[in-house]
Amino acid sequence: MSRGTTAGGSDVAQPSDQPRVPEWEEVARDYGRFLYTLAYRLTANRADAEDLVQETLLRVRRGLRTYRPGSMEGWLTRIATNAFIDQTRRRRRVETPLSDSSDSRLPSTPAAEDVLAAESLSGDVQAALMALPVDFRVPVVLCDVAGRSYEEIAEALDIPIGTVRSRIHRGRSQLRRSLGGQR
Amino acid sequence: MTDRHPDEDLSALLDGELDPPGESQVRAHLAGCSACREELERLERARDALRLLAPVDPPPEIVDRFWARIRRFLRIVAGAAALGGIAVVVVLWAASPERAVHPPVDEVGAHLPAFPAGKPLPAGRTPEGWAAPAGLDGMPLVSIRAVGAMTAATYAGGTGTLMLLEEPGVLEDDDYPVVPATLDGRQGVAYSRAGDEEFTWQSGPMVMTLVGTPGELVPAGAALPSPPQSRSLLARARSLCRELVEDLTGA
Repeated sequence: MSRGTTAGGSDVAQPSDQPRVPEWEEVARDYGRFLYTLAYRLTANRADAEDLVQETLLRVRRGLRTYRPGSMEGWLTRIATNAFIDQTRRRRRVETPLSDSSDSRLPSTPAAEDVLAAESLSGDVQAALMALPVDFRVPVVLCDVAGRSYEEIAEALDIPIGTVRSRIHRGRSQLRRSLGGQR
Repeated sequence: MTDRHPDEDLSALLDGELDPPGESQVRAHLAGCSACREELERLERARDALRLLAPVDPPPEIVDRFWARIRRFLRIVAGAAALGGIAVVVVLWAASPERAVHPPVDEVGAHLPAFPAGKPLPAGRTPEGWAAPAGLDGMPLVSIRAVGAMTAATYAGGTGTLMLLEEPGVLEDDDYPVVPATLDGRQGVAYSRAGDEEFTWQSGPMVMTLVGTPGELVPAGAALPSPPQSRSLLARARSLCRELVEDLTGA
């Protein structure tokens, strides 16, 4: 377990076959875009997405020691989801609950750049997404944006796989009703 | 079987989440049900609308700001952890004559003496059998009390107070957005805020916390004011820690 300090550039052979646990900086660099996209789809707001990515990376930093090489994106998705749910819960205590009314179609006080970005980046889809209740939005985003399996989503959200299946279906049904008129 | 509309199985079919028998059942139904075929198409379009959304790249200046904030945060937290660990080591174990120059007591430190009085315990021994040291760094044990499920041993000397808290529970990683620290071989977390230095670690089924507060002592036998809230010090420390993070990460 001891770190075996190799002073200077080590030409000590790495134990082969042992998948390397990545450095935090690598995770931040290589998965920043993935995380930001996921966060933006969940929050629809650049400031909140940035906070969420930041919180996720902080948790990643603490958790890297326990990371077992596998699907990095799956692991990150789980952490980001938990961070998002924590943030949502914290906000619910002080703000009005998230609703699926038209009020929540736009994030609170969006910056001008957010509005522009939302318009240029399929703003109607993002708006339809934000109109979904959080309980539906999260599994749908995890499935369709982050590309996670139902099993992974069930694990991330700590809900039965049957619930994942039904929430994704109901979320998608609502999405297609929101988007349906445009086709 | 096949005359039941598959509803949510349609989404599962799109996602490749049906087992082979389930899939052939749904496909058999679809072959004879145009309503479900149309519904499947609409669901697929909704799914693709999301799938085909481009990844979002933050504008460069936002990336820069983001990384600057991350770096600043990590530096500060790392610094705080190091300070907490080192300061506590100095106060607790290294009988060093050189003491850190303590900042003045602030509102956090001022809360500490208001820690609830609790029930005095005899002979410096907690209900769990843990023996509080008779002294720490030359500071005598002033009191050992049971406060709810928590045991609090207080040491006081000329330079401040130390409290050793023991509480049953599990240290949740998420409650401590700080980097881990090591104190005398113990793995834990440490941070410093406004003059208090704190180190928390898991010891079997107990969560131990050591809080060092520089500043004036409570006169022996003084009536302690009621705590502002009934939350435990540990809970308070956790919320302080959250505030710290929010301060640092806030816009």
